[in-house]
Amino acid sequence: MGKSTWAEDLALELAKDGPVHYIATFKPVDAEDALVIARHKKARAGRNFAVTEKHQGLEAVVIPPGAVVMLEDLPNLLANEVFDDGDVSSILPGLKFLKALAEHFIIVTNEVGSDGTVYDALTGNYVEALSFLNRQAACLSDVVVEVVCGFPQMIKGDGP
Amino acid sequence: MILIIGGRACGKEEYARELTGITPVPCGRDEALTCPVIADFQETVRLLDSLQEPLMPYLARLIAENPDAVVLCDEVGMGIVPLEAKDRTWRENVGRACTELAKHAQTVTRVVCGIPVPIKPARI
Repeated sequence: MGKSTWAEDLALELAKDGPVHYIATFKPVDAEDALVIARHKKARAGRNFAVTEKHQGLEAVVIPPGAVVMLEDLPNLLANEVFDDGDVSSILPGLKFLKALAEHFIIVTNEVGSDGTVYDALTGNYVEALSFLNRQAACLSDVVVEVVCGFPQMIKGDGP
Repeated sequence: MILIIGGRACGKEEYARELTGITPVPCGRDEALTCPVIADFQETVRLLDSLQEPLMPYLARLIAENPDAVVLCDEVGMGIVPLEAKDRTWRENVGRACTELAKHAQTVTRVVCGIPVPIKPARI
């Protein structure tokens, strides 16, 4: 869809000459995951990203006030909290904490509930939890954008 | 008729409650013909499939007998085509049902992350 690239470009634009504080939530467990991370790192190379790896507990992230912050991404953060004995209820306060601290806060997420598939309880609960989280994140946000084939569709607000 | 679509748990029911003051109810074949605010219409379609009831005549009845209904339906066609024939038929029928109801609806709204996005009348 191109949402990460679109969000990265937006973050860099908003940060002007300053760094984008990039919170990477993806927790690699095998070689395939390591390749995904390598691809992301390559895409960010030479661009002004200050990367913090944080798999759980966003409120412990150390970011200078007034920064441009980008969270990549909500589905991974939720998976970490759900499947690694974390605390799902800590996610929303974590998002609010970063929003309050940052000049601009960009959350990248996914839509996962439109495939008509009936899953096992564990996966089904995850799909619903992510849908709820997306709605809460949208409430917090001034702007909601759906990226389709790399093109932004404005869902809330007139644009960043 | 008002049609409200969107992914699973995207906020359709809350939006419909806000709009109508009525809590949406999942319906069987006959209940849907009189229910003011129908939840989970994709499951009514699944029921029709299992009863081998032809879809289009049923929808024509629904539109004629319950013209002021608010119908909520999950979008179900954005993944892989299912392996099982009956799942393929259901997925197809939910899409056809939404298209048909949308033709007759005054408004169609897609809910994204709890935010209503107008589909009909189209934004040009």
